[in-house]
Amino acid sequence: MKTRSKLILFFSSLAMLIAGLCLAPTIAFGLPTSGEVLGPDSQLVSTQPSYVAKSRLRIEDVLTGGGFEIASSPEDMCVDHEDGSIYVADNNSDTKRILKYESPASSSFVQLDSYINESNQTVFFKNPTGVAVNGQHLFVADKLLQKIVVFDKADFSFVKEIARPDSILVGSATRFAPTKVAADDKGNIYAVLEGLTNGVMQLDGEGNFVSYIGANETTKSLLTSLQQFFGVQSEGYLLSSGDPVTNVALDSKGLLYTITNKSAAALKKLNTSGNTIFSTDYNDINTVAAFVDEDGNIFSAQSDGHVTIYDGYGSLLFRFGGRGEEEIMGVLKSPTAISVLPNGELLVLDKEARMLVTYQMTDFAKLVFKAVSYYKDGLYLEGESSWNEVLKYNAKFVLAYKALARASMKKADYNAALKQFKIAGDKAGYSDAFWQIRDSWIRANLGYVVIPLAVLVLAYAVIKAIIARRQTFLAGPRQFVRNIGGAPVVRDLGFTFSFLRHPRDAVYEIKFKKRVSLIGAICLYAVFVALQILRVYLTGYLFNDIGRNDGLQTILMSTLPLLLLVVCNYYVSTVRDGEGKLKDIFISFIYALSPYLLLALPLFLLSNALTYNEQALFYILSGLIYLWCAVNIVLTVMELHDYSFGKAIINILLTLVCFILVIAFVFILYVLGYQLFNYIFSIFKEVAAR
Amino acid sequence: MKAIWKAIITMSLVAAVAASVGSYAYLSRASKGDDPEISGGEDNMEVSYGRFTLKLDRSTLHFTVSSDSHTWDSGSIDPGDEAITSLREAFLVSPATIYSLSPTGGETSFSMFDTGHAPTTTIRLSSEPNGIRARIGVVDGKRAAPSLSLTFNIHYILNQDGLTLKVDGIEENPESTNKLSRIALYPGFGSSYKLNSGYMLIPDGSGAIIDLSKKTDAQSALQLSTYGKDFAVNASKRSYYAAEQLALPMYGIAGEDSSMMAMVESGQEYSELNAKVMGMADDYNCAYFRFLFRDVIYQYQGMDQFKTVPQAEMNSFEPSVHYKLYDSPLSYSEYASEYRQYLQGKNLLPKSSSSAKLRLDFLMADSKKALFGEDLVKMTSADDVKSIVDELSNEGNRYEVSLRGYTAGGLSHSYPYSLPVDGAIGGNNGVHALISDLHDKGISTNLQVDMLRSLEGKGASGNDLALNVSQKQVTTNDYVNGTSNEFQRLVPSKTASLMKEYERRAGELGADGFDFQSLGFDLYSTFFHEVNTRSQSKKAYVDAISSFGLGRHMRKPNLYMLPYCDGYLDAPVACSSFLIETESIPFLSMLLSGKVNLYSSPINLNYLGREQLLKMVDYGVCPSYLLTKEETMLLIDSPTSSFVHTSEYDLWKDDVADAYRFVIETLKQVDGATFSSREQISQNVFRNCYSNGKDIIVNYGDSPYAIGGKEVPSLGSAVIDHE
Repeated sequence: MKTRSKLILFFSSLAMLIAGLCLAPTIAFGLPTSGEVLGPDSQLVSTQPSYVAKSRLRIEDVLTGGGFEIASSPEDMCVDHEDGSIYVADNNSDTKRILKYESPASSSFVQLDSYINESNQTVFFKNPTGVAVNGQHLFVADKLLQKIVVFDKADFSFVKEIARPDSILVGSATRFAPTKVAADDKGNIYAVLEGLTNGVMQLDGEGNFVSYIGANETTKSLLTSLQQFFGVQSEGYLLSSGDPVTNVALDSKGLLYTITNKSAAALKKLNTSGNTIFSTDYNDINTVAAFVDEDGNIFSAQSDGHVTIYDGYGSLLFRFGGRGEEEIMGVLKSPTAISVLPNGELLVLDKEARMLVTYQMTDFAKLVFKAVSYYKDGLYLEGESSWNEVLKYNAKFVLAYKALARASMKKADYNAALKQFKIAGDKAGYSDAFWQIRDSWIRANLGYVVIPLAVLVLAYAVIKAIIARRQTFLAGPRQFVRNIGGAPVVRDLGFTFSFLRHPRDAVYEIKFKKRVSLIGAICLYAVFVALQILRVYLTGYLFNDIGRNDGLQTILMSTLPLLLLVVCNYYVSTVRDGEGKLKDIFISFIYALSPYLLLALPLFLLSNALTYNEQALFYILSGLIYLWCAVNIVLTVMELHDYSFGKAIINILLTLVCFILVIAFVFILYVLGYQLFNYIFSIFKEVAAR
Repeated sequence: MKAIWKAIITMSLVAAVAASVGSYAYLSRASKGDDPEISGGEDNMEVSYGRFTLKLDRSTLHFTVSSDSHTWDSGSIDPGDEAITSLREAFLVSPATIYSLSPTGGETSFSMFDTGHAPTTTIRLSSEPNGIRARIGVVDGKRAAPSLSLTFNIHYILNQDGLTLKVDGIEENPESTNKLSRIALYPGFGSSYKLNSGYMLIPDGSGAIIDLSKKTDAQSALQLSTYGKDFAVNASKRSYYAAEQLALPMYGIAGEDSSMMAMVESGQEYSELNAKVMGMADDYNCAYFRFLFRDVIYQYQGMDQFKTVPQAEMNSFEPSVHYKLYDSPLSYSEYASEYRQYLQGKNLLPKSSSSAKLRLDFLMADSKKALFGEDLVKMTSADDVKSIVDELSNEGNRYEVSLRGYTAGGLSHSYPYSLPVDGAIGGNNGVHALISDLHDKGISTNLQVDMLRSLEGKGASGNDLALNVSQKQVTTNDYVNGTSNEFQRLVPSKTASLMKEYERRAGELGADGFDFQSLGFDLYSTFFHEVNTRSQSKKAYVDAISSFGLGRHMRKPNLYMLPYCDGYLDAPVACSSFLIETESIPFLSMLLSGKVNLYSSPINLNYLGREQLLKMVDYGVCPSYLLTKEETMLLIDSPTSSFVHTSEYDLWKDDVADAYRFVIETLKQVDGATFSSREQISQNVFRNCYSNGKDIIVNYGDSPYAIGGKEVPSLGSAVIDHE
């Protein structure tokens, strides 16, 4: 051994004397940690307990020469999956050290607080906050030493120090202050450097710089987004940088996972090029550490005491915990590291409680992991019974529906798949299942559709011919239709067709000939409201992204803005020499929406027959309707106020500005009114209390 | 003026002489052979009664209670302890540590004989029947002004079985700017030094042991408010990891050769159990009660602003703690037996008899939001319940049926003004027919109600809603199975007035009684339009429930409700698992065994496999299942969905039948019997002895265990005759 490590062995009598019974792991009697899973509509829902706290191990305080006990301050932990030993980086205020435990049930440990380097100098750890192992070595990241120190994990013998790489690519301003470290068996080392916004520094086994990987994107401001949209280079954006990565994890294939605390994508899986494969479907900004097991399941710990577990695709499986003020077995205060022991038990390092807490998997969690392993391997039919069992214990486990839907698809039970995809919120899967159902329906019923259709066309032609020859034949019914059509309201409603054909003429008639009544317009407003409600119910699932709001709210949210626009337009046009009266504007605006009023319903119905393969048709039709309405509005404003095109556009823009100002004014009024009410209310209460 | 002074001095002298004569006369009477015997020297006073002798030091109020074989000390420092600070020493040896609140609500404390703090203490002792009274005056000496000046009495009263300490006559100097907050009474009484072979018994959940021979991982002492915190005064949000509420105001300390059991006899609703072990501030293990006279309140300032101030009026009560003293170390089984006898003597035990039954808790309906209004989600109709029970009756008829969500609008609309049965689940006639049918099968049916709370925004209003000290509605964010719901609270008078209406309504439907969800569990004061202290609320609930003529099942009832409890719901099968606790024990089960049925919370919502059922056999707790006929997914978007993730009967019927065979068939053999003792006879194997001569052997191990010619399978149990 070229160098030697300073080893302090605490075994048998010494351990008993100092650590004594305090280190004896306590027999499990922890509370079952009932937690949450992802339910329908991406909501967290309650579930069966997935893990039960089994034991705890206090990280022993440091006994100084003067006989004082200095509280330990464990920062990081990793498990050597070859022998199950546990390494803990203890950054206490006295003796900075690395502790090695044989298992969480073992009170004895080996302590390493210094080493003799290549220059034969004894070096003490200054700030060890990261620790990792691979097949042969133990890696310690020490921020103040500005080094990653490598030891032989078998005997803690010193191997080498990795300092700041001497490469032009590192960047002259980059300070090598490693806080966390990860290493794979191929010799790649990933260092998280304090404050580094370029991502994680990848080094080879010799400590040479390879690249930066996994940098977070810069958060774009609205201005930046607009500048980018218009192709304008933003100096500020180029100079700004994303959040620094705060921790890393590696899976068995050597793929890197980055953790960025307080980020919108706190946990990301990267490919070998450093691009994001996925970020988890449930993002917890408090994520501080993660571990990936052999099956690719991701275990993460949050600084608020939660433990969140995802499958290999980043789908949430379980979430439990939450910071508790009381010292209760299994309740975490400030977790900083997480791992899984070779026997499948979960191990979490709680910095504030200075403990390693072990959790045992429940039967329910075992069942879910078993089902997930089938799902991951694409063995949908083989996993079907397991997923059904999962649903027995939690009927709202969305992932189970996803997996069962895949199994149903394999069995060509598309109706079942359709239902399961819908519960799971998997619209792409739903679209596939629906395509299959529609396809088989069309194939089975094409004859039944085409023949009656042909008969109908033929019948129409025949009847038309008969009517042409014998005008008196349908005189009665025709008169009846005429009578109904002659009713004022029906006539007003029918005027929408005139608006479709000649909008300017129609507005002219409204303005000067009083072609339609106020009641007719109100009826159309009512139709508009009804369409908003029907949209919720009649739009096909694939194209329905509207939540089922409260009905009154739907009505108000659809009519109030429209009415406000009418009023705003009236006021704007009044000061800008517009000729339109309020009543005319009120009537004309709703008629300008005729394309929507007439075509929305067919479009809603059509959406039920479409899959994602034909989604372009739906969106193009929708777009055309909205565009048509917009053109109608411009023409209406031009005709109503006798404006040129340019003046009409300016009028519309000013109307929008006025609209925003009114809303802002109402908001301010509300806030002030609320404060005034509170003030008066508190005076009233004060008087009442006396 | 001089004449007046003369008169005052003369009267004082006369009074002093009279008092001396009176005291002498009393001492003379006592020394003539009647109990108690009171004597005294210069340094201390002595009282003897029964087998105990109390010696009280006149200057320090340090006392000892001696029996023939043991002496209990009020708190003293081990001669070998050189590490203890004066502050901690004062805390352990002082008769009282007094906590006060500054005008801004900041809490400070001082012990009576804290030399570092130097409070001024005056003591006047006098005799009284069976004991001594100490009139104590203390002035917080460290702070100049403002300070706390306080006088109070401590009564030391010997009983046949131990000692009672009682505090009364508290007078605060109105000039004090600080206000009395709490008093910890003789925290060192029964304490022990460093690791030893003793243990503490804490009635936390099912019961917990703190093993004093093991160094703890816990960093802070255990603090449990009796009957929970008053959320009308204190925090309204309950922690996700809310520990079990302390329902029994007692603890036990067993030493190497003696034991004591402390029980709060007066001021329970203002008491707080504290327990600490060596390593927490000092090297002593002690447990004691602290009594709350004033809390910190959050006074509403308007504009969503609050400030902290001391509670204006002191809580009006006279704390009293009874210490039963034993000359031998008690096992926790013996503690259960002793406490049971004590409660029996106070008429505080349930009066019914236990009979093992499996509880079927049916969710009948709930509502979910629709575009306009709400849609009813029918989950189980009366006919469904009937057919399910018919099917399950193949196993036997030891079932107890409970209906929830039966009122119009379903569970989240349940509000205790009236109990109209929703037509969709069968209406009045359907439910009545169901209950009659179940009666014919020998199965009783209860209706679930929550008379204290309703989901926020679901009907309750006006003066029926309790207001807290800040004049806001009392609401609690209660976690139900990990998900929180906001609940409003009713004033006690409304709860009490509804009781008769309930009884009438249950009669109409033919129900056997009610499952009261929070009536026995929550205790809070109310302010403004109806003012109740916690004591008054307690009295209102007890008065109301005591005259209720039907079955009364309660969820986790507090001690004062136990005599009226015919069924104990959500019975714990573990303690809260505080780090200071080392073992969970079936103390509660032993205490109530034979007297009342203990039912678990729905186990299908917290499924933990076979071991969970075995634990119920071990603890004598009957399983409960929450069931619906329809699939659980229908509940999505309803408030109930927050805690019901599985309930469909078709999925659970095999488990229910299995639980019946596994738990009920075993427990029915000890119906009405007392769970008298429990011992570990092998690793992971326990023997539970019952008063009817039957023993239940519970095997948590991986391999079978043979006993009395029977083999107890792994994760199984067996009933044998007591040897």
